Amino acid sequence: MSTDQRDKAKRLFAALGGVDDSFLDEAESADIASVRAARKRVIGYSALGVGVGAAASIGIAVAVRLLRPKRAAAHT
Amino acid sequence: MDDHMILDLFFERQESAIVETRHKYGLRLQRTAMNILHSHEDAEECVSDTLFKAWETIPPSRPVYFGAYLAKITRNFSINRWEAKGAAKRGGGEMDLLLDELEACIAAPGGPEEAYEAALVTEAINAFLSTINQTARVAFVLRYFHGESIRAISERFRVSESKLKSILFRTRKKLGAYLEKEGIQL
Repeated sequence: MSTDQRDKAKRLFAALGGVDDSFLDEAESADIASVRAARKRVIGYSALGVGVGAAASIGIAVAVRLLRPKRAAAHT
Repeated sequence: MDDHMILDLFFERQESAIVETRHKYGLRLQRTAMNILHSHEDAEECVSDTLFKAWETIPPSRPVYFGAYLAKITRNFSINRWEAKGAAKRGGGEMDLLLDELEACIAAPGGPEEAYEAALVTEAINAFLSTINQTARVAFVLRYFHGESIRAISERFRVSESKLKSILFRTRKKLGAYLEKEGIQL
């Protein structure tokens, strides 16, 4: 890296010191928020998966039960 | 103790304001200073200088984001100390890595030279940060304001280091393009 480029990088780094306070505040708390959000997503998807699975099982069971007499009737 | 109560102590000129501030923000400030200076003694002195500066400036200042206000003071003290100690000449360390990475945002030399206006650059950076998504923004701020290591940020975000490097790389590229589009030359 040339001295000129290094000086420019230093100036940019210094300019970054003026980042808006609200962004700094966001950075302070975002890690917790993002981890919580990720956990909620995992829990949400798990619950959704269990729900869909349960609904599908019940649906299949009901369908089988409903179709069985019809099949028996068709054979006789 | 919340920030409003601490700031009230400053306004009442009670020395417990310093104690409470150190209790709440001391470690965070020390980490920011350590990321730049890599010396516990120097980092501790920067934190002490920060608290003294806060004592001097509050009142009349009453910052809305007290933590951010302190972090900026610490960062400035740390950079000044880093430069004063000639660490830049020695090379190595996280600061050199940070500067290497920021080179991606700088237009190649040979372009028209313009006077450096820090306020303009800062304004452009803030405008740019408001256009990107939160994850990229937070990662960028943690890396290039606080000087956090890639590993530390990836652990906080619970993402792989390579994923984080990719986010930062894309953000630097975008910032470089944004600064160029805005006609900003460093």
